[in-house]
Amino acid sequence: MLEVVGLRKSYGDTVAVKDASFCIEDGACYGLLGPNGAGKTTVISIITGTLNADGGRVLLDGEVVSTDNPGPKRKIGYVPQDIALFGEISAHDNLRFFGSLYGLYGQHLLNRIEYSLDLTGLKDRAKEPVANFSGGMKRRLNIAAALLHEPHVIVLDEPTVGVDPQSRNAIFDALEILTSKGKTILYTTHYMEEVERLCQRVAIMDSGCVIAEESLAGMKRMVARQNEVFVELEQTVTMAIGELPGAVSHSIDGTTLTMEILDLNRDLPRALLALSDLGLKYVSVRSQESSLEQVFLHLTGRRLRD
Amino acid sequence: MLTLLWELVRKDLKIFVADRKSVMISFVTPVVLACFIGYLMQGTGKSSQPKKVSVLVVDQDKTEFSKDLIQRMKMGDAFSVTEVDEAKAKQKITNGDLALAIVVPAGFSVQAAQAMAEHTPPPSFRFLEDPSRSIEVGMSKGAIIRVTMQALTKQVYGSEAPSDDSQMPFKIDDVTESAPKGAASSASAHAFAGMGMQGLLFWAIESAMTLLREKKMGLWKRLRSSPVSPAMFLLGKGISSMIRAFAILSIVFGVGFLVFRFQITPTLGNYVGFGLIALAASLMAATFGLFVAALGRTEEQSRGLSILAVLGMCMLGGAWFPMFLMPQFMQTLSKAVPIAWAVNGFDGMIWRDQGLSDALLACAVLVGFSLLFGFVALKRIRWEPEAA
Repeated sequence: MLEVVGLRKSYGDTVAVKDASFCIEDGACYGLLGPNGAGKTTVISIITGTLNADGGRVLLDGEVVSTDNPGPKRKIGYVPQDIALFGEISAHDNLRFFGSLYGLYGQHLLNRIEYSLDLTGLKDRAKEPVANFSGGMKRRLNIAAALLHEPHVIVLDEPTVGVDPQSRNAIFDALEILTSKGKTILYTTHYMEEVERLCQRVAIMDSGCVIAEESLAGMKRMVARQNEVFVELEQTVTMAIGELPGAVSHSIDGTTLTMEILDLNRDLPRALLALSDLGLKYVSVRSQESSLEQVFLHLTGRRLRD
Repeated sequence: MLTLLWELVRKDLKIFVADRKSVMISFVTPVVLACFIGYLMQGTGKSSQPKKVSVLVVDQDKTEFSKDLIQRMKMGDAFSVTEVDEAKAKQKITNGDLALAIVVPAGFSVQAAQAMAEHTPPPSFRFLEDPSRSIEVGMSKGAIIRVTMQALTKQVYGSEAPSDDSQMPFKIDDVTESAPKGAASSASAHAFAGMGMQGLLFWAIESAMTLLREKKMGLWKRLRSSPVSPAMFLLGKGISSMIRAFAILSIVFGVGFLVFRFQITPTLGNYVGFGLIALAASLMAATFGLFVAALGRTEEQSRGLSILAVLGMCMLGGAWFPMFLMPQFMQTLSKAVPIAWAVNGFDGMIWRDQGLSDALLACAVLVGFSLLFGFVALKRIRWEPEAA
C-alpha cells in the first residue's frame, strides 16, 4: 500500500505542494489529475524518492520513502515526464544500464529486457540508437526502462505527452496488462479520457492541494449538473425560445440546441414535447454523460487544460 | 558493486564512442594545436632578444679575476647573478628553475691570461643550459663573453681596452643538462604537454555540459529514483571520464612521439613516472568536469565561466608558452594551478631528465587537486529537481 500523508514542499518562496494526502491500495490503478503547475510532478518526485518533502511523509508498505532510503526505491518503477533515455546508445543498452541500477545482471537482466521490449512493442528495434526513434517509441521505451526490476508500484508522470494515437494505445495496452498482473499504478495526466479508461480511483490536485479524492464513479456523482443534451434541429431557429419545460437551461447555436437536463428519463421527453409544440422539428438527439472534465470545472471553476 | 560500477562506466564509454564526430574533435583538436605550437616553438632557439636574465655562477677558480668577473656581471644590466656550487647548479637547471649556469673552472684566470698574452691554448668556460630556454641562453652567452673579455683585458693589460692582436683567450663548452635531443624536441614536447592538457580541460568542460544536459533532460531524476547513491554515480562518471581523458592524452602524445620524434627519457623510472602523471592528469581532468557540473546550474551558466577558468589555468600553467616568460608573481601563482604540475611533470619525464621521485611529487599534487574537485562535486552537485 502506498500512503501519502500531508505532503508539503516549497522551492524558495514558491509553495509547490501545500497539502497532499491519498492512499493507493495494492493492485489499483490510481489517477492523479490536475492542470500544469498543480504540484503533481512534485508529489511524484517525493513518492519516487528523488525529492524530500518539507513536511508530511510517503509510506510504501509501511516503509518511509526518502532520497537516501534504497529499500522502497527498489519497489518503485518511475516513468518520468521527460524522456529520460540516452539517445546515443541503443534501446537494449539503455535498458541494460537502467536494469543494472537495480542489481539485475546476466541472463535474468536479458530476460527482463526482452520482456519489457516485448510489452512495449519495441522488440524489433532493440539494437537501434534511441535517437532514431519516433517520439512515441521513445515514450514506450521510457516506460520499458521502469519495468525491468519488476516493481510493485509503477509511477507514470504524464507518459503520453506528445505521442501519436498508435503509441498511446500501445501504452494503454501495456498498462492494462500490468494492472491485470496486480501491479499498483499511479498515473498522472491532464487528459481526462486516459484516467477514465485506466483508473478506478482519482485524486484531483489544484494549486498544490488535493481538492478531491474519490472513486471514478463517485467523482462523477459529485457534479450536480448531470447531462448535456444536444438536439440537432431541421432548420435554423429565428424566433426566441422561452422556457423549456424539463430543461434546467438551454442555448442555441445555428441548428444546434443544447439543453441541460437533470433526469433524462423524467425530463427529456417533456423538453422534446415542448419543442414540438413550438413547431420545431429535430433530426437527432444525443446526450453526454458528466465527465471528469466537468468535475474539475465544477470543483475549480476552470477547465483542466487552462 | 564492481559490476554496477562497470555498468556505469560502460554506458559512458559507449555514449562517447557512439558520437564519432565528438570523439574526433576530442582527439584532433589538441593534436592539431600541439603540432602547430610545437612547430613554432622549434624555431625559437634561432633568435635572441636583449633581456635581463637570471644566471647561476659556479666559481671554481676563486681568484681575483673570477671575483671581478662575477662582480661585473652583477653590476651590469644583463644578469641577475646567484653563486652556487656545481651540484646545486645542475639541479636547478634540471628542474627548469633557471636556464643557464656558468662554470668558471679552477685555473681559468691564469690560463686565460696566458692565452691572451702568450697565445697558449685557451681554457674552457662551461655553460650548463636548459635546452628549452634557448632565448635566455643565447642572450646570456654573448653578454658573458663581453664581460669576460673586459675582465681579462683589465687583468692582463691593466685597462679596459683590448689589444688588436689578442686572440680569443677562452673557449665555451656547452653542456646540455636536459634533453639529449636538444632544444627543438624539448620545445615541441612542451607544446604537446601544454596543448594536451588544454585539450583535456576543454574536453572536461564538454563532459560537464553533457552532465548538465542530462540533468535538463530529466535523466538525473530517473537515476535518483533508483537505489544507487549519488556517490556511486559520481564515482562511475569519474572513472569513465578518466579513461576517456587518458585515451585523449595517449593519442596526443602518441602523435608527438611519432611526428616530432621526442621521447621519454629511456629509464624505467621515467616511463613509469610518465604513465603515472598521465593517469593523475586524467583523473584531475575528470574530476574538474564534475566540479564544473556541480558549480553550474545550467549549461549556459557554466560554459562561459569554465572556459574562462580553463584559459586562465592554461596561461598560468605554462601550457601556451614557457613559464619563465611570465613575471615572477605569476610563476609563483602557477603552483596553485594543476595544469602547471602536469605540464612540468611531463616535461620532466620527457626532456628534463627528472626521475620517478619528481613524477611522484607531480602526481601527488594532481591527485590532491582531484580529491578537492571530487569532494566539491559530491557536496555541491544538485541532484534534486529545483522546481517541478
